[in-house]
Amino acid sequence: MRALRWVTIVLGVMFGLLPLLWLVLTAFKHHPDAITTTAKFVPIPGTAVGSAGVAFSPTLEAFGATGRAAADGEPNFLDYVLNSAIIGLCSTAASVGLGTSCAYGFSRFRIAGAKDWLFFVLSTRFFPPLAVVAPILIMYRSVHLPNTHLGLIILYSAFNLSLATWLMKGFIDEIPRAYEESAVVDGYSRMATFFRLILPQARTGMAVTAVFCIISSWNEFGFAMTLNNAHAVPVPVYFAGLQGNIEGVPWPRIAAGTLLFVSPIVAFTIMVRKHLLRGVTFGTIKQ
Amino acid sequence: MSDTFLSVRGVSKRFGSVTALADIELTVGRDELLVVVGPTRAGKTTLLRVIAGLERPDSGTIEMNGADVSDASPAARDVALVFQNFSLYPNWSVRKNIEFPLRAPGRGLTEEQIQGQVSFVAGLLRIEHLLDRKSTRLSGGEMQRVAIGRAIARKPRLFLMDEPLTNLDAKLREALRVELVELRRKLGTPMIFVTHNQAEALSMGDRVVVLSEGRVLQDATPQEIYRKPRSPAVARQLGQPRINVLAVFANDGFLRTGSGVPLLPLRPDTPRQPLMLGVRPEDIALEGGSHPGTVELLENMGPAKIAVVAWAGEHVHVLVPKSAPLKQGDRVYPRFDPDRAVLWPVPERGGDAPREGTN
Repeated sequence: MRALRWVTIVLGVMFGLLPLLWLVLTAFKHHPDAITTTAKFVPIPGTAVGSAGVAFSPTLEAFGATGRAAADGEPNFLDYVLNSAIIGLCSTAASVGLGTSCAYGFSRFRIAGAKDWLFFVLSTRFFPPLAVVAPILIMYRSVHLPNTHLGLIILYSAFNLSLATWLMKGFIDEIPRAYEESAVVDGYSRMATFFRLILPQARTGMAVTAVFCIISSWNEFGFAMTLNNAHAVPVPVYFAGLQGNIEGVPWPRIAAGTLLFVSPIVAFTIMVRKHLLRGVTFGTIKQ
Repeated sequence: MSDTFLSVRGVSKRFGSVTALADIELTVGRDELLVVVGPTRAGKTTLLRVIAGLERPDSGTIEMNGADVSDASPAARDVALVFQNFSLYPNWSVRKNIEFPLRAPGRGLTEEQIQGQVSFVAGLLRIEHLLDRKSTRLSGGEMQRVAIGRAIARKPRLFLMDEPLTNLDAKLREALRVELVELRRKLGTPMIFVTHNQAEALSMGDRVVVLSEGRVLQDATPQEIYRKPRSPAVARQLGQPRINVLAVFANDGFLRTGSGVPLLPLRPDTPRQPLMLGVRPEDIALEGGSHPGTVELLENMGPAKIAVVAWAGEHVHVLVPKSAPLKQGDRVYPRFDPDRAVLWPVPERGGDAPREGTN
């Protein structure tokens, strides 16, 4: 029984991880090994490139190619990563910051029609964002926002703001008002209580919200492709561009780039994992 | 200078359709501990919040030291509020918690003064050894000591305590009760102590205000409230075991129970309409009466016993010494102390009608 359970688990995990494993393997292959019809999955150093059989010789070539500039004056992979980082971090900071302030207002003040406002905030996520890509492109053009970091930062911040507001409202609602009230009685201003008491208490919520925001803006493709295809190009758009290459699709380079691209997000998520677990179970367990 | 520090005048507060406070009048002296006692939802917490400035009353004024503070900010009122759930700032050390009010903007204390106050308070409350501990790593009693310390540290003009002992276990509650009274006396600062616990009210207060459904039912010394409760509602709220309340009427020289059994001789000033009679369990003797009753139940209460006596169609609770040779089914002749019994007119239909239940 026990053995069967383990076999099931291992099979399930393998099935789930297979695409990831293949991505990792591909990243370490030479181009011919990556596109051959034989599935090569045993890394053995010294195997001849293009040989028959399941063995292949692991190489860092793809990573090297990713790091090098494609041609003189062309931006290299790290420049795209930098674009993605600027856009992702700034929009996440904006969404979390604005979302937290909005949530604090909704949570602590009596606002006329608060429920309707909250519903309105959420309603911005009811339609597929790409449905409005054309009008946004036209509007952006008139204010010269396409192909700038700022353009995508504004856009991603706006799209993530509703999520951030709703998530943070839940977290701030759980912080007892007695903390602020006792500080107010003790002589602190509302502003001071917000910064000194609410923000430190809301850290968990902010970390959780930040993870969701950064993942969504880091991976966004549709708007980035339409708005930022010449300058300030983020990584997903760059990957898409690689597919039209004359030598065929450079799979090892794409795989290597993907690995490099997802690693910061994975690292960040692992860093805040503790908060994340508490965050997603928030409200379900009475402490 | 008058002896009154705080006057609450005609304060009313409604939340939507709920009346939390209705025309409250009360005062607190300069060196007085006023206990406000009442059941849940009586408006006790709202009263404190209005006094602290966290809620604005719909009408009425609040004066401190002779000055109208109705429009003053909580900070300007310079009162300290201790909550039922302690509300210490989590993840902060005890020291940081106590320092926090002292560091509020505008207080202008030097580091030396702050540390001086912290050690003064820590000594007073015997929490020196806890100063560097995180507030989340304290027991309930320690937390409440720290919360009280935080309130004391900045020497407020008035203490507001919102059921600060309710969340503690019984033993600790009694110990802290005594400690708090002594502490307040030492500091000479006026205090309003809110509780639903009648024992706290009777033992702590210099004066007790009984609050129910947002109204002051009685405002008097604990002795007077215990001896001369103004209504059955007040009488029932204070005293353990609870007072006996019987419906009586005057006839043929006696106050008689509903079934006509004579209970007390009539006095010249006794009104003739139907009345409610309250008599505390300790003011009934089990012999010397004229009408027999049967002991139905004996309940041990530590130093004494409660005998529940079926008598004249009522259940009468009588406090008897532990040593009394009494057993279930005994025949007794309850006699009521005529000087200790309290008479009220029958209250209008509603809140004050006599209710079943023995507690």
